[in-house]
Amino acid sequence: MKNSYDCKTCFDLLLDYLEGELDDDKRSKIEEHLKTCGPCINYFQTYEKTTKLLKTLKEQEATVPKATQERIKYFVMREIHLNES
Amino acid sequence: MKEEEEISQDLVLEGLKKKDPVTIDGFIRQFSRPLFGVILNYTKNPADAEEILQDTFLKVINKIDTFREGSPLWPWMRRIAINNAIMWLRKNKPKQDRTLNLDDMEPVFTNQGEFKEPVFSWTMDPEDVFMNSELGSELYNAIQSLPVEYRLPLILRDVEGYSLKQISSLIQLKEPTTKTRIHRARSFVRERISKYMEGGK
Repeated sequence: MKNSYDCKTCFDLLLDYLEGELDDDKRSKIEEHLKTCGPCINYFQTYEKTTKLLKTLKEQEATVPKATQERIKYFVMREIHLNES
Repeated sequence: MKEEEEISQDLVLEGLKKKDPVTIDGFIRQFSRPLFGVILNYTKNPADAEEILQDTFLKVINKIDTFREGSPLWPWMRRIAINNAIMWLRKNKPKQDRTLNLDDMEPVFTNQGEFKEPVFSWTMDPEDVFMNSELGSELYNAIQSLPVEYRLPLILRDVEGYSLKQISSLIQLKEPTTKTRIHRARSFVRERISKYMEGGK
């Protein structure tokens, strides 16, 4: 039995690998493959960087025009009154 | 009242419980902008975001009796906004979402299971996104172009940091399906931003 996976299998297991959800056997087969596979090393690193980049996504800077705030206030007050009556 | 003016949380809670119009007015002025910013991560359509925002305010006010006094108000409101955005997007899936083929964004493998195309390393680091607004917009646009069933689990996991279990329960999916969607969504975003990250453009 092979002690290392191919690139496709490593790709399929990548999320579980990063989540720490793989058993020792699967993890070591991935790590064995990563020792010698340049494309997989690059893919794993760039995939991980993507997740880190996503963490930097902040709340969007946006203004809410006065007219929108007025519409929201009108909607909220109307719903409250409807609920109460 | 000035938009930036902070009002005491206790007074706000008291006013909201009484459904006091002046308090509600000030409350909407104070929190419209930050809540809108949270919601725009889930949909870039301003009309949809506005609808989610008004529902969020209504829910916050109607649920104010369940708020645990003494704890900070903002994280509680933020969670309500996120849950509301999820519910809204599940009910009103935008039509244009259907045109994107995520298969095109996954790597292609040979019959021997090897990468068919070269995979390049990135010269830029995630921290560089702060220095590069073009990359920031590309990241946001890549997320927004994902179909909603991929966008939601991706944001909840990678932006909000929810666990896979929490996400599966929130969007009512089995955990393996949630994982597959996050994996494909990440691969898609990775592909979209590669051209910026490879060359440090």
